[in-house]
Amino acid sequence: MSTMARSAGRLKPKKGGSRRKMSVGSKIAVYAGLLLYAAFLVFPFLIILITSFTTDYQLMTSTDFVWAPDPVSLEGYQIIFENDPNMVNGVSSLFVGFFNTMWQTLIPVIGGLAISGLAAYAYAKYNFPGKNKFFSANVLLMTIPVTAGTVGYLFYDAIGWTSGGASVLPLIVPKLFGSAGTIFFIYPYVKSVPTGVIDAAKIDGMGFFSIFFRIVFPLSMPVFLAQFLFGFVSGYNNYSSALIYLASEKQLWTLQLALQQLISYISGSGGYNNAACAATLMSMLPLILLYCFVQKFFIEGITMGSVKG
Amino acid sequence: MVTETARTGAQTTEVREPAPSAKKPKFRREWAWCWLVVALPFIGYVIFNIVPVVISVAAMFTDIEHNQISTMQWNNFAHFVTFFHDAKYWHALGITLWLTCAQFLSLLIALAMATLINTQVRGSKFFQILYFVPYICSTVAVSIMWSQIFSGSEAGVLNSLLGTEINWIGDANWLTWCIFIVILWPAPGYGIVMFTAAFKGIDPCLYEAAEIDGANAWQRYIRITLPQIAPMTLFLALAGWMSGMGTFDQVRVLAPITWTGTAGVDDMGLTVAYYTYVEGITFSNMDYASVLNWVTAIITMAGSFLFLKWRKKTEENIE
Repeated sequence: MSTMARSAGRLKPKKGGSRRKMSVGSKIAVYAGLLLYAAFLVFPFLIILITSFTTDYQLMTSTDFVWAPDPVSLEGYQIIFENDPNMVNGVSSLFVGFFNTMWQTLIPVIGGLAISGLAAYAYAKYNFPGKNKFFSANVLLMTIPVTAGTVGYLFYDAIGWTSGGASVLPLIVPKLFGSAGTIFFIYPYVKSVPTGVIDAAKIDGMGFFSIFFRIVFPLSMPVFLAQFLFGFVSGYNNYSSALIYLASEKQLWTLQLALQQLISYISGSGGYNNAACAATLMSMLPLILLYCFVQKFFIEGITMGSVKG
Repeated sequence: MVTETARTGAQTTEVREPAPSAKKPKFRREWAWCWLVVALPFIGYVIFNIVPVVISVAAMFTDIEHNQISTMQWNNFAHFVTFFHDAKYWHALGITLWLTCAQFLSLLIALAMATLINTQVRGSKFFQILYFVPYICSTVAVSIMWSQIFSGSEAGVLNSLLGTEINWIGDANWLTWCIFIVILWPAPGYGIVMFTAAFKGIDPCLYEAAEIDGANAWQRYIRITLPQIAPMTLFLALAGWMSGMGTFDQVRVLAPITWTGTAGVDDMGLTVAYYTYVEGITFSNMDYASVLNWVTAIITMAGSFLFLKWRKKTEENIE
């Protein structure tokens, strides 16, 4: 399937040859459309970038939007570092939030992916009894929506996972069991690993886990990387479940929760829009940087398996 | 049956029956590991999905004090009686459906931009990369960014550009529009990438045949491109429908609960997910919130079902 899609892509330059005979007029129209939309997307970033470097004094006294900060000031950034109302042990809540987001995202994403990958490997390369029944059940499970948001609250409350340090568990533990959808997604890629290689490894005395981690996993790296990036981005940006379970535990706040709490404090105090913009910009920066470095994997990852050859 | 269900997913995979061996294979140690890793997702599903769902369903028929399950008590469908007189839910559903239109509109934008990218003018690859950036930005950050633009002061960006002095977010006539834009802005990023991939998946022979038959570029687009990508369009519409029905982050940031207890002015920022959250978590009425949750779930699933049926039809047309 993927090879067909790729060969179709390879035919493209030939096809493109005839398409490149576009008239100058239509070329200009295409560029106009592309640039207009690009401007619409860049505009909000530009606004908060400008405001983040403006002094609060200039923001408060100006009757028009300040397009050119005078002086260019780091006041907004300084406020976040020094006067954050939600500081934990003197550290700005954005930094604590970033650190929390990292471990609260990486643990479930990596753990869940390992289980899903091992399950896909078991389905693809072992004829264990009951395999077909399990696989059918797995496909069925995939089509049933997973509960999200407030549905699980009463359950987690009953087992004591909504107060104190345990309130981070609803965000982590359920994902450590892997997911039917991910298994199904990985399965065809693991299946395409040559069985001969695995048989040779078995003869060399390698076991279930070492074959997976030393042969199958490296050979199907792109699919694992794609799944990792999905999980990481959605974990990094996750706000609602952090709000439901972690709102009262300041030291466990994730980045998005810390950002929203900081902004609602700032807008309540009236003024210091520069700090609000600086905080928003800083919270987005890590993911945008990551995207710049591995954008190829992002774009290939989300289309992976979605186009029928 | 297996492939039948699999077709509804993003891809099709076949399960081959193992060759029936003459002698029963001996037990192997690896099988234990296989069973373990294969069973774990099911165990997780039972504990963290089925049990919470059972509790949530039971909660609909009971009174629970302070969200403590031990206080559960049968209440003769009192919550359902309340629900049928709950105009607030239907108001919230109206807002949610209206905001879901932003998801569908974003598909049109995505299709238009993917078409432009597909002309493969120089630099089109760069634009594709740029267009995906808003999609990876968090909904919270995007909401805050736009709230700067919609700032109600005379030095706010929009007021400054238009020369007006409107409190966009604080005005009941404008609030829902503001949220609409905030949802619309990042949404096409995903669709653009998916449509671009779908364009590449179309068999070039179809275009060549049409060209020989004398079809112009516009006819080729309408008669070949659009029908060929119809399954992708419906997949994206389904994804848009599901995320639209769950709209929460943007309204929580842009329409915080006011001192009168409304979500933004006149509840104009109240979506069904937001209403459920406020009822269940803020006011600790998880029993009633469960009713809201399940009504929303049923509406969402009914809509999804229609999209899936429609998608299957378009796939049959292509074949």
